[in-house]
Amino acid sequence: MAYFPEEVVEQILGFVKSHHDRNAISLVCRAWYHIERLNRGSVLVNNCYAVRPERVHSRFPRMRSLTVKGKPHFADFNLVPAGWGAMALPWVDACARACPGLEELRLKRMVVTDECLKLVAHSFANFKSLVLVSCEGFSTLGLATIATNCSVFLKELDLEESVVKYRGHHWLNCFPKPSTSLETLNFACLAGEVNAHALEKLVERSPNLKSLRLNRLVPFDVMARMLARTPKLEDLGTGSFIQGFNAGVGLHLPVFNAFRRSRSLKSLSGFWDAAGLHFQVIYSVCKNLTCLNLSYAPFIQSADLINIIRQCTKLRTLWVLDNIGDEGLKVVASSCAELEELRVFPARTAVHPRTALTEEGLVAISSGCRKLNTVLYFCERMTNAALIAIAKNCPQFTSFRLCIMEPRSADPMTGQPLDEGFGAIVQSSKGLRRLSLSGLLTDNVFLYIGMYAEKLEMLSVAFAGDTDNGMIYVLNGCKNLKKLEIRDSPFGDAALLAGMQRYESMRSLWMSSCNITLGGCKSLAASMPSVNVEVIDEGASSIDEADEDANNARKVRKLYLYRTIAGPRGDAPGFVSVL
Amino acid sequence: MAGADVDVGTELRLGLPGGGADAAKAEKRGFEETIDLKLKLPTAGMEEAAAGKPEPAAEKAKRPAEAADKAPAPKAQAVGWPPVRSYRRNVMTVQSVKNKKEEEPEKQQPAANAGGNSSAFVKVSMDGAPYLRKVDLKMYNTYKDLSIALQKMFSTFTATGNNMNEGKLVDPVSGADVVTTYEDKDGDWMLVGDVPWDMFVESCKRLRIMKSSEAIGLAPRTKDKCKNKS
Repeated sequence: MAYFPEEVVEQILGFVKSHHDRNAISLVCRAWYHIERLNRGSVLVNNCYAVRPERVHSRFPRMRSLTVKGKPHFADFNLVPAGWGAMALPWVDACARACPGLEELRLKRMVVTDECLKLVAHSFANFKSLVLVSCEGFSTLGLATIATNCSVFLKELDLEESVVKYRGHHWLNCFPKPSTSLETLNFACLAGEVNAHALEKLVERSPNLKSLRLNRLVPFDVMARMLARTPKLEDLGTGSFIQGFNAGVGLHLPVFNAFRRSRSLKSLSGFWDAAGLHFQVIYSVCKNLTCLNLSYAPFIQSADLINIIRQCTKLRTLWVLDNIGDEGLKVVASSCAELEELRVFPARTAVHPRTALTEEGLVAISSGCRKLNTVLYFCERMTNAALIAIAKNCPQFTSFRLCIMEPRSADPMTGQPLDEGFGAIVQSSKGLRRLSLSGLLTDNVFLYIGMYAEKLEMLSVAFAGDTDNGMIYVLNGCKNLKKLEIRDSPFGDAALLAGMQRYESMRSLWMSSCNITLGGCKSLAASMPSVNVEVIDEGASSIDEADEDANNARKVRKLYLYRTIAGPRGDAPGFVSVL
Repeated sequence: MAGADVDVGTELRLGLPGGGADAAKAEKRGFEETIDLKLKLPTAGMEEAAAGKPEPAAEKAKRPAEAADKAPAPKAQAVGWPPVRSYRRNVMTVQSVKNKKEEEPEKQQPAANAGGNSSAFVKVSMDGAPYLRKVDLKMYNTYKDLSIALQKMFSTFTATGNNMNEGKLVDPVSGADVVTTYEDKDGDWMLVGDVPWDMFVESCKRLRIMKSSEAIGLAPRTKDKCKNKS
């Protein structure tokens, strides 16, 4: 090995893209560590507080693409209060100083301000791609600075599911003239109006546009005109189907024709206010579609859904609402043999979260769609028998997320917990990397998970388990576990402390509304300097040193701990105590 | 004559069966009554959820596990449950799901700024104008007041007449008549002036002053709405 020329290693490295593999390579020996770090162009930081930005830059001086993730996953469900942190500015700042050649910046669950966007716009001459997923804190003014100042190389602006403050629609005018290099433009999340004229002009001068996702306020006629000018479009997120539908006679015909002529369109989303009849315009593209997202279209009835899906024989990814019903899913099962990913969301989540879906739908899918590897399924009920059948039909799940709407729902046929069902899933799908549990579950399910889920990397637990043993089984068994998030489950200090050996090899642990106490968290923090233990306690008084015993016995509402080489973070707000 | 009785007997009514004396009361239950009967919303719990505080673990543990029962007894909702991204929740709220085929009568998801507000700012756009404006609907008491205010706001354009329905603002480019329309809570575009002022203020989300020629096709569905709201 000592005689293996570095140049050869470098050459080989050029073909290795996966972060996981690259990290493994860098651990082989010191020489390889250095070769690899000088060669890595695409850097992924899974937790913005695990490492300081400067450290990342000094290790990877040839960085071209940086991806940073911020808040814990449960922030998606309003469990992390506003102001918690995950500011993007320190990262952008470090990039501006150390890496002016940066081409791509991808941020997830971070707070991005307009000031930060301005810095991005002015710091990187070759900037090509900005992707902000589930981010917040910026406005359309920030977008304007990006559009104005980023060089003509800008290829991608993607604001997936971000929250953007509306400060005018001027930003669309700001993109370079006479033409742009835009290939991807996604502003579906934008709540405000866009200037239709500016949008049309922008599309006209963006000949490379492959992916365009409009927000729900873009009138139909505008979309119709743009479709005529984007023959290379592969991915379309529609605008409104109602606004502008009547403006100009027979506009659906040009849209219909545009769809019919399109050879390249493979992915559709949006639909927002579309209902039954509107969908006829897309019938002609259905047979080419590999990706269809109807999960933001609550007005489409089951019968219409079925008509569309029947024609989507090449579909690989399908996102729908639960009003598709079990019957609709049976049609999916018989029509979409290539299906790999299915997500079914509840249409009604407020007041009385209900869905008409039962276990039947998913069982049908599992028997018809043998390539299925990713499932997210919200349903009203689930049985062990169904889960066992699903496990047998589909042994190649990599991500299985089941959400039975009512917490702690037992098997309705037997009254039993769903331990056996989930046990079958983990036993059968040896490659399972992500699992979300729901329903009535005892410690047994965790025993199964610990025993069988060897490749499991992320586990989400809610309203489950009986004793500390549950959590201990998982911590002891799942050697590849990286993220564990638990809410409303009876795990206490014993379980928390049992994982002491594990937390350094895991990315993070979240526990909320469990039975852990402040004392337990403190003793964990004391024995693990390389782990930040953060207690989030909004509304509670600051930790009072006076009566220590009483204090230590206090239940901790929210705990977030994560491994880090950056030490305790300096930007923690008042309601976060870093122990 | 028997016919009259038959007519009465076959008349469609929503109400408790039997009881001729109750026939007079056999009309659709009002919205509020329905809430009382079925939902018994634990408003305290809802507020807590909105404030972002988690339910105490003890209470949740007590709640018995139930299979999919269709009984309307509601549970207080846990924060962040079901685990649907807040982004998605917000989008669906805006869409304002019109589920008329509910099993149980369900309150429409209240908008973030549900009633009791002291102001009702809505955007006003005018076709051809380079920027939008905002008006506070609660500042006015009648359509006439609003009309005058809008005329002043877009004062570069000729304005005559004093009734919204007649829409006497004039489009600057073509000189053609314009009409004022508004988007209501359901997302429909309605002609301004059909419903009582208060009802309009409550349901109006934004205003648009558009060319008369484009306003063809606006259905006057407000008459149905008036009936339901009685």
